[in-house]
Amino acid sequence: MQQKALTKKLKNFTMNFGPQHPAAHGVLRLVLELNGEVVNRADPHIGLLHRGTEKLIEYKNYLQALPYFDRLDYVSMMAQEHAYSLAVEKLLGCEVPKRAQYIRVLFCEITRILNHLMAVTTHALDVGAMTPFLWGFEEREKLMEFYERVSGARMHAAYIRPGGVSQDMPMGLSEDIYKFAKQFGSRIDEIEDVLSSNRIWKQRLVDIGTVSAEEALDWGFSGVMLRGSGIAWDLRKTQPYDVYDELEFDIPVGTKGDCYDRYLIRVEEMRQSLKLIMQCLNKMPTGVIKVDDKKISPPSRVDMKDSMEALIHHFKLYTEGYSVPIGETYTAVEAPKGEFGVYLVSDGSSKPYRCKIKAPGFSHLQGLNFMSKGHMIADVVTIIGTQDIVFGEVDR
Amino acid sequence: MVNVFVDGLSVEVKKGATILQACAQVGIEIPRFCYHERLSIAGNCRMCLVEVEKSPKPVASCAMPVMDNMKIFTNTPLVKKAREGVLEFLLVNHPLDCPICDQGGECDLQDLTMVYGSDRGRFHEYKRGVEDKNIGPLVKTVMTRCIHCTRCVRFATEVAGVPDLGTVGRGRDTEISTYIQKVFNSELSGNVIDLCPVGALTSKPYAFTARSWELQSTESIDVSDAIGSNIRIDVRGSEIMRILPRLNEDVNEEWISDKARFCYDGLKRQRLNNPIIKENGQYKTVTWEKAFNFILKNLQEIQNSNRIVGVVGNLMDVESILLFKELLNKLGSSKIYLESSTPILQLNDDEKEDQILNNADFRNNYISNTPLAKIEESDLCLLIGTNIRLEAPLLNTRIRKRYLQGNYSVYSVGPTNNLTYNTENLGNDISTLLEISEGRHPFCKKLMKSKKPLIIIGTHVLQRTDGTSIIELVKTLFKYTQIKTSNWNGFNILHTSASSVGALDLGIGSTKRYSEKISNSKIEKHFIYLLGADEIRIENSKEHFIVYQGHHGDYGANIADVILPGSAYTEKTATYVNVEGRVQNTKSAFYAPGNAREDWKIIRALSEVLNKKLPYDSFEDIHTRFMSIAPHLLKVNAIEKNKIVIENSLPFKGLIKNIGFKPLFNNFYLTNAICRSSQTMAKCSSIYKLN
Repeated sequence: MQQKALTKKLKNFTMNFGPQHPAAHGVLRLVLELNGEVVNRADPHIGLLHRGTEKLIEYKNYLQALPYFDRLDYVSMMAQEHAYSLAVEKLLGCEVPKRAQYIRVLFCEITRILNHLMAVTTHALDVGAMTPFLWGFEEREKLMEFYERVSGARMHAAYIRPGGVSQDMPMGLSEDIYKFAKQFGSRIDEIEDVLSSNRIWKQRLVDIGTVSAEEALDWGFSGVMLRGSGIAWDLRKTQPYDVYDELEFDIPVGTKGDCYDRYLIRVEEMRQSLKLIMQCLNKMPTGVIKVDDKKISPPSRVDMKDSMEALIHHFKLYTEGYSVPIGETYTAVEAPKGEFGVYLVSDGSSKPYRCKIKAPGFSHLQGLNFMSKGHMIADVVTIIGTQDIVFGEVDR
Repeated sequence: MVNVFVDGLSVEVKKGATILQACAQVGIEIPRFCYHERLSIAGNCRMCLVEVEKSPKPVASCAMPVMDNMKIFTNTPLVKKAREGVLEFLLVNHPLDCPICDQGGECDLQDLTMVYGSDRGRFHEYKRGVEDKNIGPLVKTVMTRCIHCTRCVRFATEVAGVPDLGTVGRGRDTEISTYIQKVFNSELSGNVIDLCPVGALTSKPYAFTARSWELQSTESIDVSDAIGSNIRIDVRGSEIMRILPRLNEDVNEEWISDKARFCYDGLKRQRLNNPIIKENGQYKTVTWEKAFNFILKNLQEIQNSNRIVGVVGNLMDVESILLFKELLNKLGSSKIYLESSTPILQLNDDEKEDQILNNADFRNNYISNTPLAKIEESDLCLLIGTNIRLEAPLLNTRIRKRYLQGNYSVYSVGPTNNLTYNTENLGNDISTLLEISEGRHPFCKKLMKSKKPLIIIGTHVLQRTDGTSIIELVKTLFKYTQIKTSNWNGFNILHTSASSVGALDLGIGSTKRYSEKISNSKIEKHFIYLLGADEIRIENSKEHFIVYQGHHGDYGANIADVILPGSAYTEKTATYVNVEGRVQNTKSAFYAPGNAREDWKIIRALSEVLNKKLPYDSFEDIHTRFMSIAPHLLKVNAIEKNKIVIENSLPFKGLIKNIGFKPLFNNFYLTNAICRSSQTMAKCSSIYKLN
């Protein structure tokens, strides 16, 4: 009796974080259970950016479904186009020309830098360092210009398509990418100068959000979230696609699995991407940029002026689309955020029967609870930042 | 039966079947352009080439009959090359028209090129050009696109029975032509549009209006005649773009008449959007409430419920007819008539009613007892007072099909008509009928010999004052012929309105009607409710209070004091019963314009204002009611047979006037309010001379 009366009734403080918080990276709503300033539980509520992409794709033909992939993780557009195109190509059983493969890899690595610049610098911004953000975005602008020059669009490129890429690189683009790649290393150095040994930065990141290798595997982490915990797993190495097996690059891994390790890995990956870009530019073969089968890739407009076959194929490809043989595939790429996979089922028609999208961010966000448990509320921001969450792909 | 192997699969096929049919039996579809299962075999497109063991060359599978133990291969490199070659030659002279061609997207040439053709061409010379032909206001021709499959030629000659089309020239000079410039003079001409595998023959009214993939289809039923052809209504947004036939082997096979196909532009014109009342000679658009109250006020002035009359129009569905009937019954009137059997309505106080159909409690006394699909079994045909080519074009194709199989003769009593096959006219004289019924006519010998005779009595007979007597006279033939046996019933009344059989099933309308007796007595004011009736003519209409409920501003709306805007058949989900008693449903493809409503809902709402509330709040309520009064109306796509049949055993003693039969209508293209509002139909009626 007495014992009970002495026990004080305490209730933890429950607080909403987001969905309008600037550090919530989009429309994340976190329900935080706080014990003072210490996080007891972090419960992510998702779905505020749900657009029904997978269902919409079932009503589009294979080519029309492609632009949806730009709009998933909207900071690593081409990586996702790449995954989808590889899946469709696998079902079609078509061989992509070498030049197209090199262009794809070149732009996937540009995409990786785009993504990591965004991830690292906004992470820094969330934690209080504004300068790298301004520097990083200047570089991103240049990269998006490359996107625009090759595809016509700064972001939603719809450039990598089943069968190759939509058009060849314009004159002078390789030159400018080369110039960029040459100077970008020192831009990374500058960012590292400000951050890597910065006391505040390290205080905020070291030993925060530690993920053991086992935990990372249990929660289905991939990409930097997995490599940060010391597991050297990268689909570009373990199951190479396109020309990755012809290129040299290293996979950085972490030792402690904390936010600081992951920061360092992202920075190193940018350097590795630069290496890959240089190799692609040097090895770039000449030739066609899409598969020479007009049943898949549309004929040129010149042919359409006097060839009936070309006209019919153009007409049908852009109205009904090509039919994909019956089958199913799970195809994944190493997107900047981790393993991005497309599970595609074809019923033999010109529209996918089912398209399931495996987005890395979705698995990572589930780990937010265990990663932030026992940390201070301010560390939640760090952890969201290190997870590199983008809601376009989480909600789909 | 013959055993053959298709790609190694053993299959039993009928002797005399073609290789193509054998392949279809194991589920392998052979590509084809010229072959069509309802037309004769031409074998000229060469697209259906397959490899047969021990045959040095590929074989045209559509024309080659199977032989025992034949080994057929449809998937070999030889076949692939042959198909590629055929397509390449077809494309050599095909113009680069896809972007401006209406067939684009539903073109066999495109589809087969995608699947079987090469992905690039080798032809860089000049293509041939062919002058376009003008074959009428319905079918647009772009003859350069023609690949000479001759489907249209065979259709015109075989099915339509109008051998207007043919080929002239040889080799690359081949052209499909009418020889001398003339219109393709058939009521079924639109079907060549569906048959044409390319864009050589396309629909003129539909030209450049829509692409096939933009359209949403609704499966429905046509109401322009009583056959109930199955149709597909293609809609973009809320606008109807075209009507196509839907396959139904029991009804229309895969054809529809031009009226069914092209009348749709009439649905966009002359529509009644709002309730209208006529006060002091002025038309006023009002709310539904006001219109109903106006009806209530005027109805109260009618003291004698004997002066309340209802007329059911030709395009009405069964649900609306039921509510209409029950409302009028509640108002104390049982005077409901079908306009299809009442061309003129005369209302005066010494009026009297006549039977049209005896024993109409039994369905076999008022429907076409021979199902359409069984017409091929008949061995003789007698037409009484009907021009089936215009009254039921698809019935006519059935009879023509039977006729072409040989050993068949068609006789007619009534005006001579061109039915596209030989008909022996026995004269347009009632005495001929009398002679036949009494066994004095030479025709009787043939009739008696016939195992499965077919007798078709036209709607015109029902419209005559002596219609009942004529029908009873025909029925006397049952005694000494085999018109009606245990497994055959060749007694057919050919209704021409979509509503007739349904109304008769509900026990109204056609059993009675007014006589045409001319009276000099004073005309009393009547309350007349026209449910979509536009063909009837009402004498002294100005003396009466007339409510018109319907969808078009036509005759009925013109004479009405109150107009209630209803829905056309494309805008309501409703039940119709066709001439053979088959129950079918229309489906709403889009909404009725403006304030128009579904017809049964209007009647239901009106009944409440008139304090005679009908107990139906939903479509299901009406169907529950059907369950107790006419359960067969719920059996969609089935023909309910009479279980008990009691023949009228009374000896024939009717009065028949010796007046010859007249044509039912003057113009095939203008038989209902929708057609009369259609510009396409107006063009047709001025150009075609079918009557």
